[in-house]
Amino acid sequence: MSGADPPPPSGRTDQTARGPAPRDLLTFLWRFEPLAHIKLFALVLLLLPFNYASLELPRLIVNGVTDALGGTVPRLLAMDIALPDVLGGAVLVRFPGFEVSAFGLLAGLAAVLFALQLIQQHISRLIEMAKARLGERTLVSLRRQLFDVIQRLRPEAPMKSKAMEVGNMLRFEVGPISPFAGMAFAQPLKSAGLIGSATLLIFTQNAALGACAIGILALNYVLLGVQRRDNATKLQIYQREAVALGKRVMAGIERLPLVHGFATSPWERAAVDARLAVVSEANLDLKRQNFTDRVLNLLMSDVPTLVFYFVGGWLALTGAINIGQLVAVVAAYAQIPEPLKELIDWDEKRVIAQVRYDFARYYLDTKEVWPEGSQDDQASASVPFDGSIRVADLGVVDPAGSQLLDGVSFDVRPATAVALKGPDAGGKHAVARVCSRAISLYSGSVRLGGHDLASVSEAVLGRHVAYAGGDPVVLTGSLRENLLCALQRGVPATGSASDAGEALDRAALAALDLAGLGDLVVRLGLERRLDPDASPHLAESIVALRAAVTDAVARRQAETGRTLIEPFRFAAFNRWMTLAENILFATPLNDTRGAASLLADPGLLPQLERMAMAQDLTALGLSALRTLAELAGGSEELAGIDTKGLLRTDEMAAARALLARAGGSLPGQDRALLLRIAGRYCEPRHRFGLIDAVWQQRALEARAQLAHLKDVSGTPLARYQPDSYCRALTVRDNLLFGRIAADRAGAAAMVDEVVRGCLEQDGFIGEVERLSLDVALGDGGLPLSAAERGKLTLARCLMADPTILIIDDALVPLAPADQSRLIETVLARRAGRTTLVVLDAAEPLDLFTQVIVLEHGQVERVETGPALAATGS
Amino acid sequence: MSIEDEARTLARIPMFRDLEPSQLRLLAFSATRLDVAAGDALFHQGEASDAAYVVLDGTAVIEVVAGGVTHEIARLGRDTVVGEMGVLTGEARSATVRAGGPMSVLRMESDLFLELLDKTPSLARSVLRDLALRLQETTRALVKARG
Repeated sequence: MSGADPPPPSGRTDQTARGPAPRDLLTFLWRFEPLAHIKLFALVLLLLPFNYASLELPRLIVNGVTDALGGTVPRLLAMDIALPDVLGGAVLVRFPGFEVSAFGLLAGLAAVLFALQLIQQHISRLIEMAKARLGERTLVSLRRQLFDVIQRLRPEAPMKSKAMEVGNMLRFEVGPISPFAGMAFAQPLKSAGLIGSATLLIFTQNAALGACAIGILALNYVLLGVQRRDNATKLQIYQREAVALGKRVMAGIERLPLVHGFATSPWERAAVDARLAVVSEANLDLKRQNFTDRVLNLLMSDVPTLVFYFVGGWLALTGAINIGQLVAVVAAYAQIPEPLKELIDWDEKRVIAQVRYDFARYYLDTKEVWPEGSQDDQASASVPFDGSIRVADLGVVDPAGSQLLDGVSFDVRPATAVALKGPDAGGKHAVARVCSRAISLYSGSVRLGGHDLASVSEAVLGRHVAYAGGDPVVLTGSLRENLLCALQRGVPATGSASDAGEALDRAALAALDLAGLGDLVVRLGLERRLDPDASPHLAESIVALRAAVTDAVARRQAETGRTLIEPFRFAAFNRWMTLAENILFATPLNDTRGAASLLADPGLLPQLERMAMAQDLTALGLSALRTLAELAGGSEELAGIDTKGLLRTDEMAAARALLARAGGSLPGQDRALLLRIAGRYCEPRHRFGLIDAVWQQRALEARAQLAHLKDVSGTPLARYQPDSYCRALTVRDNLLFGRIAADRAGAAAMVDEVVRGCLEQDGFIGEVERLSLDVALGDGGLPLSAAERGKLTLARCLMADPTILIIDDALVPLAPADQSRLIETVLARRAGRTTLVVLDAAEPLDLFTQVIVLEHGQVERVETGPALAATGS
Repeated sequence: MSIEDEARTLARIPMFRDLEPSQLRLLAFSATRLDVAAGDALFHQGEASDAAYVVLDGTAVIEVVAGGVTHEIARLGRDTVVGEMGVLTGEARSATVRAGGPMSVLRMESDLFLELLDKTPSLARSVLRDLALRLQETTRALVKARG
């Protein structure tokens, strides 16, 4: 089978059309911005004459002073530009200079030297900045290209693992290319220029010394070449191993749930340890070579220098050169090691950058990507798209070689509801996946909305087609972010008007409701804790609504003869409050540990002791803890059971230690733990039979005595007051001013229904529902059931309001009756737009204008919905 | 009713008779006690099977809707288990269960029930025996119906 490899959309070029990235990094860098490199060349060339002149000055200073002492009239800036002695020494230009005093000569030459240094520094700074800018531009461009690859990966890439690899490349691996990119061409030119100007100056002073300098440089070149010949290979090995380590670690992260589930952590650790050892050895190997380099460099820089000074000194003594020339030659020679070092440094960076570039190039040349530009959103909104689906001779072969679809052909008219039916492996899922591009390699022709699926841009397809598949994506972020991501097209606008935000929230809530998550949204909204300072109007409205809600609940209780809630009454014990809440009739503000944490607080404990409650509470806590340990089968097993909130994970060790100590007086920390356990106890929830009528009465007496408390050791208390909003309680608790009787079957649902009705009647339901959009999902967030994840996937698709909606297996976790109801609701709301539904067990066939039955990868028959239902197929 | 009382009730149920008293107490603690008003449904036919229930007190009425008509197929008294089939198979509820009068149940979330089965071979055997007996009864009924 030949895959339908799409040609690039018109006006765009793809990766292959642009050609692969060049193998050599220097070629890549030159092609990236040749003008920037030429500009750097110009700056380097500008630097060299000033550098040469600054090397000349020491000679002029020494000779000028010597001549002045000898009686010659000093002349400032008198100079000859002449050929070297070896070339005959002919004077090309002679500048007589200015007649000055000896002091004037010294001061003048020092000022000139200072000016030359300033100019050189300025030019050098310009070069450095230009290098840095060029480096950053190159890095940004490379990272953009890599991100572009991530964005354009086709599903067969394989998308997730490859995206992770390219992402690592983007984040960490290409970094070292930046410092090299700017210096790629300018640095060798600058270093060579500085070495050249120093050598030229030495030559102009004495040919023998010049030859000596060239000889030393040649020796350096040969030795460096020899000692660095293995560097590139070793660096490549290190890089390869480091990347392999990164991949292994990422694979380990991916399988973390399995590691915990099957206790394979030792295996994982051993595998990563082995990789770490290899990487460490490769790095050491590199360092060993570098150390050898440094020893040789030291020898090469010091020994030849001594030889050079020896020859220079001997020439001065024999009168072949004067003292001024000797000073100039020594100063010039002293300049050579620095650019030489820079050249070595450049070469090291080149090797590193080349290795990193080779890796980047491997990913940049990925073939399994969509064409460049296919995701550009420009003008995609105005592209006509009619909602039709035309499939002709569609064939798909899976990676294992099995024929998933073979010669499938059917037409779907715009604005119709069509079902795909048949056995799971019959081909219905494959058709849906092809239409949504979850499968991109196929034969035959598929046209969506009048466009060839093989060539239509992702921008157009994403705007008009939405796919609800069985692999739900739950982003780590708020519920709002999980919905709005479907609309984040184009470039994000800076700043958002609150009106637009409200409109989007309304759309998100409508989509969630349509997808069957309306009850969840209300529940989440009711379970939020509202900050009355941030939403004063809503908080006031909730308090105002309290009477209406409690009346409505009371009416429902009277109608059904059931107890649905236990109201908060100062004079009554509330069974559904914890014991600590019952004692305090309040909860600490800004303290997630709850009221129980306050019982052992030094600000409250003395008062409990005065009321003779502290000891009894401690005994109650100990009794509860012992019961827990018995239930667990021993104190060591405490962590293995759900303690229903009586013990926190971080208290397990202390609880075990406490139980291990038999009798005797309790240390302060043990007492605090037992008081916390007692404070968290709630009889109908834990059912240890510890709270009787006497305890209830004692709690009420303590409540009365503690009613004056505003805070405990500085922690403010949020009191339960019938006429004000309590920010420590949920919205539901604030509306009910009570707790749901959770031991009554269906009480929670019934109460929420009543509350919802009141909120709808008073027009506040939207505001409460909006609170749910801030609930965090994903890692560490609200856990969603499989059915809720499927509904969230559908809600996201509905949010996009696509021309064609494809519902594949997103709803499989739902019970068949729920699936049917949901599909019916969605189809009713989507009248006038195309909806393609892959039917699982649910069979509301009469809802569809057409039912396509697929078996063995082929269309078995196509019938209208009601007709097919009548046959009983 | 405390978990001690609930554990005693569980001990009377054939499915749990092989469990140690400590296991029964833990099972009772891990479950949620619910009071169901007369006529209220514990769950409906076609819903996802998310829990099994032990009838502590009262009567559970099992109903099945077929061809748009509701048929009462059984009444189960105290010390019986309902809804465990759906939890075991992962399939949707095959029947609706209502309270014939005021009823008390222990609700065992499906995760809890399945975990308990994994950890307690004796319970798994009891469940298997129970299911085999029901299958036997169904087969007998089928044979009898065919004459």
